[in-house]
Amino acid sequence: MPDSSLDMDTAGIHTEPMLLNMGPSHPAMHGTVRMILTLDGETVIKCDAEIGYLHRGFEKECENATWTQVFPYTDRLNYVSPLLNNFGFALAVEKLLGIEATPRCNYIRTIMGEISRIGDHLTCLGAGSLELGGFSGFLYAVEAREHLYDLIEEVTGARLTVSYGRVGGLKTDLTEDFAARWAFARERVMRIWEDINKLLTRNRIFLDRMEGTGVISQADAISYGLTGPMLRSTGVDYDVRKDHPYFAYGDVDFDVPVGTHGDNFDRYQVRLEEIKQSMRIIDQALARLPDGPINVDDPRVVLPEKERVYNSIEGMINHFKLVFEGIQVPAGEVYSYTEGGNGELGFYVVSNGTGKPWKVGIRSPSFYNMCPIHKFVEGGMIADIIPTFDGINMIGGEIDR
Amino acid sequence: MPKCTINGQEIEVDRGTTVIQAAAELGFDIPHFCYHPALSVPANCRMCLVDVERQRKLLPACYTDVADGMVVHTENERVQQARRAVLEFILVNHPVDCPICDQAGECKLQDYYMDYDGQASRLRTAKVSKIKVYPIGPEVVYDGERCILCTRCVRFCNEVTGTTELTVVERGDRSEIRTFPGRALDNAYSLCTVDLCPVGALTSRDFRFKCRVWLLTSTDSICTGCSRGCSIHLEHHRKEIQRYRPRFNPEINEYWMCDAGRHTYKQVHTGRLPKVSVGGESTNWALGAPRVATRLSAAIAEHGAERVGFVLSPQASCEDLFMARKFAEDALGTSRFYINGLPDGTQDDFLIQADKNPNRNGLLVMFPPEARPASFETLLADLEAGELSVLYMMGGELPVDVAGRARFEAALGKLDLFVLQAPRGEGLERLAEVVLPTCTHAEKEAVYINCDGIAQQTRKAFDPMGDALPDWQVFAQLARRMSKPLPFALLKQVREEMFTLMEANSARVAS
Repeated sequence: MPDSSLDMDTAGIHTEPMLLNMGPSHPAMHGTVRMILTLDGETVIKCDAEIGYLHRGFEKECENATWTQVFPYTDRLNYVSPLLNNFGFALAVEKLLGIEATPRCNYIRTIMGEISRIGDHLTCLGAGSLELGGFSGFLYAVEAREHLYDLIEEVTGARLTVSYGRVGGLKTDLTEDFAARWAFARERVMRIWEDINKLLTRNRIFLDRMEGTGVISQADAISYGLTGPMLRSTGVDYDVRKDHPYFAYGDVDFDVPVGTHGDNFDRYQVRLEEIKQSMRIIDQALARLPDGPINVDDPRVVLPEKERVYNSIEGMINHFKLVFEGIQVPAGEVYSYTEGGNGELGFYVVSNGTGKPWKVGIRSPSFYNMCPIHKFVEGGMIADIIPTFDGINMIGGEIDR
Repeated sequence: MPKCTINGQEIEVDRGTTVIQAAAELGFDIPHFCYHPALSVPANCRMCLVDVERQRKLLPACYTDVADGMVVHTENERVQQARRAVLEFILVNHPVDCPICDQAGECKLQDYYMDYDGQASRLRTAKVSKIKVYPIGPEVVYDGERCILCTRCVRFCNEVTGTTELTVVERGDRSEIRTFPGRALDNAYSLCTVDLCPVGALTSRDFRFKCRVWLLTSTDSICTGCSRGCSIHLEHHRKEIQRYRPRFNPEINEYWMCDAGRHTYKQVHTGRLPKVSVGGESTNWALGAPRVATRLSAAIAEHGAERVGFVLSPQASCEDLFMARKFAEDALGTSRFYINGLPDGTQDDFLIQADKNPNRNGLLVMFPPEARPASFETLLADLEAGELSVLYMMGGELPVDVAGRARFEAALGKLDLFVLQAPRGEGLERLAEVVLPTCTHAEKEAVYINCDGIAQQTRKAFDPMGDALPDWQVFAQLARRMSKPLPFALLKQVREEMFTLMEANSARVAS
C-alpha cells in the first residue's frame, strides 16, 4: 500500500491494514450491499460501499408500461412502505395531468401512508435491536407490524406488494369497519411501542452501542442531501409533510421530532417519536374522513365501474382504451416529492403525450442517505457499522431500483 | 383563390378545397367516419360538423367548400357538443363487442369516444339486434350490429372497382349493408372494404381472430405478389406475418391493393428451405460453404466454365441479382445467364399485373439491352442438348406447366452439379446436390423495381428463418471461399455500384 501512514510499525511488530469484505451476504448487510473495509485492528480506516446488487432496471421498465402498470413496480422500491411509494407516484402523474384527487382520497392516502410509515419505522427499530443482539426487540416490533399488515391486507388485499394507488384515486375504499380495526390495532401497537421503549431506550448495552456512534454533522447532512429521520436527527426540522403539505397533511396537527447530536441514538429516538406522531395523524384524519367518491370524475383517467364495462359500449370503450393504451398524459415533465419512510421520495416524470411514461426518474431517499456511509464509519469501530448501517435503513429495492 | 380563417389561422386554398382539407393543411384533425379522400363525399356521419360564422347551423367540413372570408371554428363548445351528440347516437345500438372485435385497438369509434365523448350511456331500452356473422363475400364477413352505415364500402364498390355489389337496405335503425340479390362481395379488391371500414363491421376472413392489432409491429415493405409492387404495411407478431395492409403511395397503388396480393404473405412462412444441404446432408454455412466452394471449383475445372449455366430469378431483389451477375462472371467465369420465375397469370386494368414476379425490371436492367439473359425455354433446350454440366439456379419458381417441369426435371439428370439457392425450393430441392437457403423480402433490406420502373425498398421486419441469408451475402461468402473474393462487404457498397450499373444500362435502353 503506497500510503506510508498505513504502515504501522509499532513496538517493533510489523502490522499492516487488513482488507475485509463485509457483505453482500453478511446478515447485517441485508443481502444487498457490499462494504470493502480497510481495517487497522478493529478500527475502520476506509470504507468503500458497493451498491447495485438489487438493480432491476425499474426506471427503464416503466417506459414500457402504461402509467397504471407502473404501480406494481413502485411497490418494489421501498418494499417496507410500499403504500408511500404508490401514493408518491400517483401524485406525480396527477400533477402532470393537472388533476387533484378527491378529499376522501387524500385522507385515505394520508391514513394508509402513515400506517405504512409506522411499519417502516418499526422494522428499522426492530432490526436494529436484533442486529445488536436484542432478539426480543425484533419480535416485539414485528408483532406490532403484523397488526398493521393485517389492516393493510384488509384494505388493499395484499400485505407487501399492495398496488393500492391509482392515478386519480385508489383501488378501493376503506372497509366499513376500518375505524374499529384501527382502534384495535392502535391499542396493541401502542402497548408494544411502550415495551420497546422500556426495553431499549434506557438499556445500558443499547445506549453504549448507539450513543455517539455514526455521527454526522448538520452541515454534512445537508450537503450530502440527507432527508428524513437521518436529517432530523441532526436538528434540522425538515419534513415534506410539514414544509410542503400534500394530501391531508395540511389539515392535521403533528410535530416533527428532531435530534441534537446526529448519532445513532438520536435516529432511534426520532423514529420512535415519529411512530407516535403518525398515530396522531391517523387518529385525526380518521375522525375527519370526508364522505364522497375516492376517484376523480374523469373518464380519461379513471376506469369505469365493471357494471358499466360489461353492460354498455361506452364503458367498454373507456375501459379498453385505458387498459390497452393507458391514460393519455399530456406532454411535459414534473418533479413531485413526498415524505417517504426514509426521507424525501421524489418522482421525476416525463411524458411525451402517450399512454406510457417517456422517463421515470426516482430520487430515492436511501440512495442519498447511503452516500456519506464512509463519513459515518471511518475512524470508528467495525462493530459500530452494524447500528449505523441499520440506522440508515438502506432498502435495496429503493437504492438500486 | 378563397381565403378563410380556421381557429384563428388564415389560409389561402384552391377553389373547390373543402374545409376538412384546409383544416388538415393547418394541422387541425377534424374527426370523421364517412369521409375518405379517395371516395365521393356523402356527408352522412355528421362527425365532422364545424361552426362557420354567420351560418345558423353547423356544417359538415367534408362537404363544405372553402369560401372567401369564411371564419371556421373546429373546436368550440358548439362543435364539441355536436360531436358528443353524434357519438351518442352512433353508440346507441353499438354492441359491447370490443373484446371479441378485430378492429378494437385501431377503431375510430373507440378513438373518438375517448377524444370527444367520454359520457356514460343514457340508453334505457334494449339495443336493436341485427345479423352478426354474415359472409358477405369469400374474403369478408359482415357484422350488422357494429356497422355505423358510413357507406364507405358501398362507395368503394361503386367508384373504385365499379362492381356495385353493395347497397344499404331497410331504413332507420334497421338499416344494414347487403349485396344485391344473387351477388356477393367477390371483386378482386374486396378486402379494401375491410381497411376502409372505420369500425369492425367488415372483417377479413383471413385475419379474423388471428392476432390483436396492438401486438402487431408494422414494417414498411412491398407486396411481391406481382410486378405492380404495391406499397404495404407488413404487420407481424413474433416473427410471423399476420397481414398486409396497403400503404398510401400515389404513384403506385394509392390506398388500395388486391386480395390475392394480401395472401402472398403466406409464402414467407410456407415451403421454406431452413438449412444448408450438401449432397443430401444437412449442414450449416460454416461447414457447408467451403464444401460447396470446393465442389464448384472442381466441377468447373473438370467441365470448363463454358459448360456452367446460371439461372437468375425475377423474384430476387436488385442487390441479389447484381451480386449474382458478379459472382457468375468473376467467380464461376460464366456468362450463360437464363431467367426462371413464375409463369404469367391473370391481370386487370387496375393494379393486378400478369407478370407475377416482383422484380423482372430489376433483373433486366442489370444487363445491357443486347446481352440480356436467355429465356427458360432456351435453358430447357440447352439442357436437353447436353450443353451444360453445372447449373447454378436462384429461386425454385419455374415459368412452365406440368409437362415443362417434367422435361426440366428429366434434363437435370444430365448435369454433374445442380446448385439451388432459394427461399423456397418448390420441390426442386430434392433434385439439387447443393441447397442454399436465402431470405424473403420480409427478412432483408432490398430494392425491387416494379412494372412501371419505380424502385422501392423493403425494410427488414424480422430475423431470417433458419439459416437463411440474403442472396448477396451467400455470393460474397462463396466467392471468398473460392479464393475469388468480390469487393463488397456492406450492403451500401453493393448498392453504390449496383445503381451506377443500373443507370448506365437504363440510359442505353432509353437512347
